[in-house]
Amino acid sequence: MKIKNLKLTAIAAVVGLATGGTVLADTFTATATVSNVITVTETTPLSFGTLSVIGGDVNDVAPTATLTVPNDGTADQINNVSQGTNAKITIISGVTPGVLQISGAAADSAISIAAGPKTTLAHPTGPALDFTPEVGGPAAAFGATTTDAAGELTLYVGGALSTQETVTYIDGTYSGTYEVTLSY
Amino acid sequence: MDIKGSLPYALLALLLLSPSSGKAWSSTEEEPLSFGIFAAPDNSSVHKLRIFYDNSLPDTVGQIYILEPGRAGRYRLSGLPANRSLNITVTATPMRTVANPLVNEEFVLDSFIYPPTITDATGSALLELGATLSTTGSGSSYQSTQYRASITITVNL
Repeated sequence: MKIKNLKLTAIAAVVGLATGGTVLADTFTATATVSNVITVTETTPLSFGTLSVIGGDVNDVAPTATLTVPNDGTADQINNVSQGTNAKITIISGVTPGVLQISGAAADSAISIAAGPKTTLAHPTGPALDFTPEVGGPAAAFGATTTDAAGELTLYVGGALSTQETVTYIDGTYSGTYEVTLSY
Repeated sequence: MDIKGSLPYALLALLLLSPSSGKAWSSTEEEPLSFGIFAAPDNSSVHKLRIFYDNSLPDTVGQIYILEPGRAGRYRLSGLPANRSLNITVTATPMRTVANPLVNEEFVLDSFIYPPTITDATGSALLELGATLSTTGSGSSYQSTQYRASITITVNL
């Protein structure tokens, strides 16, 4: 009887080892990489070409003239000049819409685009022209601002170039910068 | 035969051979759990990224945008009893960046998912592990860098 009891005790110990408690606990590393940066490359600068510009007067019914370049990659500048009473903009040579290439974004994702605020194209010594930028997708898919499978998107830059009131413009190059903000 | 005298030695042998002795089993990371590369531009509310254990297309809820999909973790568990269904639990630390100590914002890892895991005749099993990453919704921004978390896999018999 004594021997039998000892055998039972040994079996109970084996069962306890095999069914109770933690068998394995090990630690590993999980990773994630955040990339919130969307790269914007200006492949073609926006140019209003060569213009003849005459300033108006603040007392005019229409004191300013405005040249508008569409933000869809077209440059139908002839039909997009709004002349003032005395202020005039006459196109001498062609307008070139700006082109921005977006990369590094998520694939097939809608991108929110904001251009602005209103800025100026300055002359080194003379008065400035007002410029309100507008940025959009291509004319073939107007309004489409969704990246492709590679996370890329082509945007076009246009905007409105306006004379200021009661100024006399002089010859020269007028230049400035504008802001474009992209977000998911 | 002196059974009473040999019993302590038998028990010692059983302890040394037991899976819980720390020597009989092993775990090997065949593929780390990765949430890939993504944009997380907003943290005003909680957004989620789910990685599935079968590596099907990751799923997002809210404003997380996948740039490069992540992968499920794969861990080889060996030296366990044969043909045994494993009771597995997984926990994780908050996911933080180590490259830039100025970044305080972290991700939360939870909702670990894995299929029923059973050892084969040799006492080996492959644990395929998916999980959900969540933004905190605290309003703080996430910087563009790598984030890491420690995950602990516990197997009970």
